[in-house]
Amino acid sequence: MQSDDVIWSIVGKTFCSFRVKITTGNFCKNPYNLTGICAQRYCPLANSRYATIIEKDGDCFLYLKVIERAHLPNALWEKVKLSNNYRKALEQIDEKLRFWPNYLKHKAKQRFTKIKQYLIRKKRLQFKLKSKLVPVNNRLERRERKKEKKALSIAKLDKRIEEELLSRLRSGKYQDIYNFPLAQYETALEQDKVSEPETVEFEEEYESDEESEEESESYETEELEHPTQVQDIEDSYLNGDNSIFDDDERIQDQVDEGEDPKEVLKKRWSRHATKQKAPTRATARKTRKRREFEYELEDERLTQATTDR
Amino acid sequence: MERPLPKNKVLRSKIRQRSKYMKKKQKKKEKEQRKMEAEARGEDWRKQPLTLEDKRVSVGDDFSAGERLVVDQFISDEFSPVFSGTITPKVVIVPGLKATRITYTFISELLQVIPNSVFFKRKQSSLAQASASASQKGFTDLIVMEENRKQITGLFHIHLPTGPCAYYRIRNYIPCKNIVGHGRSNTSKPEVILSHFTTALGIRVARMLGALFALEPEYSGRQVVTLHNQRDFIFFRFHRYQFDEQGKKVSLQEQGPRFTLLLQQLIKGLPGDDNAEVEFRKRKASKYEFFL
Repeated sequence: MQSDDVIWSIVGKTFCSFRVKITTGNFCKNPYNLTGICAQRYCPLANSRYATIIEKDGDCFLYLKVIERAHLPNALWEKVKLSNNYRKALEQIDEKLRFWPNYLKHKAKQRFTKIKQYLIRKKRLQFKLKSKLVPVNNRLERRERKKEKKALSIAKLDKRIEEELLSRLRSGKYQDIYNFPLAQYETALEQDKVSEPETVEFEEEYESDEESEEESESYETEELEHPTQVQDIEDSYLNGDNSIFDDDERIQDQVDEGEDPKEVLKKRWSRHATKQKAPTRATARKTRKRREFEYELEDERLTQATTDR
Repeated sequence: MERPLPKNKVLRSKIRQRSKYMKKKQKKKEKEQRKMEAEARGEDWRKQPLTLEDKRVSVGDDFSAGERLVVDQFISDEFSPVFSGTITPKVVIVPGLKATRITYTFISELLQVIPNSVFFKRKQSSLAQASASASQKGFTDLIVMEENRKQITGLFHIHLPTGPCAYYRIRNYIPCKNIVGHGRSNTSKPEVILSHFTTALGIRVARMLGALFALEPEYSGRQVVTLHNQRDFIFFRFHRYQFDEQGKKVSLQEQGPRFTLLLQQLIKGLPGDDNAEVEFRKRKASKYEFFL
């Protein structure tokens, strides 16, 4: 015959293999324990009348200890499958444990509720988006970082980009946008350096320029690059040199009025050359002469001043 | 038949030293001869140092990048309508599930770089759902960020009408403001440079990335996006360029974010598809094998 007190005096007071001691108290690792606490009330070994709720694969079972089968531990527990409906299952528990002590009923119901709650949570989590956690292999990370560094240094990105852009420019992709001095213009300049009179030079320049302009159909304004500060790229692009754009309109107006386009362009080109561009040989000589003249005047004034005294 | 080395350690070491010395001598002789010959011809006698690119072992089909253009009309794949101009790319950029500030910074920068791109909230939708709703709304590309521990780690690029889905790992993301002397981008459409993609897979990836930008670029804006592949790392750079007066030199100013992409896998279908064919999955390769 099972004597609960004797069992408890041994298991509870000397040694129990299921007992786990923690600072806050004793816990029971026995899978059939109703609450998980090591106490005489809740010990599945030291109680001939005992019940638990155990969950398997989403189904809850009420396990009842049948003490008549104490000599057959395999068949010791009577399993009752509880309904999936929460209310009905509670009624089932009530029915099976009707004349049992209240604390057992209460704890059984509590345990059942807890189990039911986590089952619901589990189902909900399946539909919730979870990102798959992938472990990071530090060795691989380190190696890849090194590889990347090496690859970057070999790539020589800036150089490649520059080369690519220049090749695109040469292939004519940006035909309409940039109006770089073409080879003809440059050779014309070379010729100019040889021949003397200014006016003739000037016309020659102009003519060659006209040829190049005729090639590109639309008369685009030049982009005035000052290859000094890269920080100013934004400003130059935004603010531009608006006077040039004004010129375009004026030219169009004048042409519409009936003036000879050649003459218009000639005038425009002269202004253009003297104002903004680096002075060509012809124009430089012009300006130089003027300056000299002014200097002479000044000298005279100076000498006059001195002589006056 | 070589004589076996003597068991005596001293003798053995002597023999080895002697053989080493003879080899060295031979090498030196050869080098001098080479030098003389080359100088007689007028060339540089030094050999080019071998890099990994020279020792490269081909993985599948290889061909030099010069032979096959990326924007080739004769390649008919999912991207050919984009490149031929019949479809204009519309890009949605979507944050990851747990997005923090850095994701949003990256997204805002990408929105400036990629023309015709829009930001949409994630709203707890899975990748399959997101791609379905995006294709319904008429987008051509979906980009989904991935983040871990306040760092951008990954990027899903899904080409929408049943297109391939590529997953990249992102490394070394430097936002605009951390780049010294960076410029601010303007709204004109940038040009694209896709360089050094050598294998067939590489060309496919290049087309996929290029299809994001494949609108008519506005050359007057002088902006250029570079995607350069080196040893399976795809470097992304965003510059503004300016030619000098003679058109002989370019000056570059870096504008946008700077990051590198590592292709992890390329799947032929949309993300919800379980039966989709896996075109590429990153695997352990030897030092000399490069996939892109």
